Amino acid sequence: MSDCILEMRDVFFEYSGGIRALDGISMAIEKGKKIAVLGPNGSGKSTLFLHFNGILKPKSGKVFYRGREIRYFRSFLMDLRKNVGVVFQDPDTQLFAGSVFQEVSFGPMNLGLPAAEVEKRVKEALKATGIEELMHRPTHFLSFGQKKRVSISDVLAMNPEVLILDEPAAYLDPGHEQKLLEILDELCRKGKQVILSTHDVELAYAWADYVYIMKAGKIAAEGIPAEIFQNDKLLADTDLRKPLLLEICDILKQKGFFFNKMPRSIPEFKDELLFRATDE
Amino acid sequence: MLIDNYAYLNKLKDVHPAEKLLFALATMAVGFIPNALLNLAIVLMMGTVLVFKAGIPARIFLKMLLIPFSFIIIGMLTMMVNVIPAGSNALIKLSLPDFNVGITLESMKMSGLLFSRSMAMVSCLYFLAFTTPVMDIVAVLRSMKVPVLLLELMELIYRFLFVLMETSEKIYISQASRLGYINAKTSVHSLGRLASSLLVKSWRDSESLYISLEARGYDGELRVLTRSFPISQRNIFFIVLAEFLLLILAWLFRG
Ligand SMILES: Nc1ncnc2c1ncn2[C@@H]1O[C@H](COP(=O)(O)OP(=O)(O)OP(=O)(O)O)[C@@H](O)[C@H]1O
Ligand SMILES: [Mg+2]
Repeated sequence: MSDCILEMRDVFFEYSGGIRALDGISMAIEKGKKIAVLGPNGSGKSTLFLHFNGILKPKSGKVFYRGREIRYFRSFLMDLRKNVGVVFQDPDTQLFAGSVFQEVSFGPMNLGLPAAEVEKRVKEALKATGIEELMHRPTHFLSFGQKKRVSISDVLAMNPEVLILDEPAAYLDPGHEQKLLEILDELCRKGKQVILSTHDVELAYAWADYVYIMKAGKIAAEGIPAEIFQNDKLLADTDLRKPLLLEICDILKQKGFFFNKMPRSIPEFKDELLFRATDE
Repeated sequence: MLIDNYAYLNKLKDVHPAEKLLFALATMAVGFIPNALLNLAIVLMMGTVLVFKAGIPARIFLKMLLIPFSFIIIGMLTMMVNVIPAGSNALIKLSLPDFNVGITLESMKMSGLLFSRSMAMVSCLYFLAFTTPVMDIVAVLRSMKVPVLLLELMELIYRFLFVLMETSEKIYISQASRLGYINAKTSVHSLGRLASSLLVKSWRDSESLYISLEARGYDGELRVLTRSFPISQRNIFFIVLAEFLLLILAWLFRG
């Protein structure tokens, strides 16, 4: 259990009005794994994420960060939020400042860093999401995808231990989605923990080391993508779809094709084909 | 919100906001000298700076000047036409049973002054509005030790003004595209729905904004890093020079 970065034990949560959003969740997120959370609309992904940095407090059950139980008093939460950063699903509810530069500086300023360091981090974060040239623009001038990128920079600039992103790829163009995934991979290599939610099965299949599937406030399944996405019944139950690449590989397999290692991306797929070609 | 767009994109956007604030305020102060010619000069000066230095199209500036024009004209007329005591020499006089109404040379002068001064002040404010984003002005005020609470309110109100506008626009478009405004009856209905959903939505938005601020370590004060601008000695020199010339003008044509 010591290698768990975040853990939930039997967490229940209800919104006012008695809507049960989390219905007995237990999960243990292993350190260093790239995590994707999937599930149909309203299955509780966003609600789950808000529990990881103590924004929402479970009705019952416990949440742990690095083996320490999250306590809901101010100083503890402040400390927790320095370590666990959340990028919200809707950027419009996250952006408040006049200009992009000011917006992104908010988090690092709250960390009490000196101005020069804040400026450096802001610039790095804007560069990472490719919006440096928007630095002095007001946030209300931006397109939705650009706002989304600002909201990601917001949290990148704080350089947290754990980065939680609620549907980061939604609204991004394919180029910037690719770039975002590269940034996230880079962060993982540096030893940061990345957790994201998505509706994009291709993305989850290619990127994640471990996936959780939610349904109606419960964890319907968890496991490595190669296994989870082979479970046709599960996919049908949770309104998901099999990744195209996996589908193709399955067909090839039925035709007698043998894969050394199931490819998770097109380049890997190509490698496998070449491997076969040189083999024979 | 046309002006706001120019504030971010004009050619003077990288000039230190304190310099622009100084220019506008100093010119306004000079403009209080009662001298119509001086006021005219101020309007011309601001117009020239806006068009040639800031790159604002002259057409836009003139159009914006026209907006307060009508208000000022009304104010001017009410000032010009007065009850005048019997026996004074008026330019135009209308005799009513109990008293006389008319325009005297004095009231003519007064209203002329009011008009020119108003236009001068308005063009100073336009200079500021066209060249300086609100956030930059707030930053200057912050360095002048204006209470933080006031400044944060300004910032948030400014931001939410746009959020509110955008939201209402979106709701309007979505209603209109479903024929919500096809006739008077549906229009009233739709407008009512727009207003009520705007209220609910703003409420929820402010709630979720608070949540997201908390997630980034908000502790009651919105600390952000403001961009630093270089101070230009040259600009300050020109500002002082311009004000000085205006004062000389006022002195030459005193009277
Ligand atoms: N602020 C709220 N007040 C009341 N109920 C809410 C609130 N936010 C979410 N819910 C409800 O809680 C449940 C879980 O919502 P949540 O936002 O966590 O879903 P999600 O998995 O993130 O969905 P999506 O894929 O659409 O983002 C839903 O039934 C939703 O209607
Ligand atoms: Mg969600």
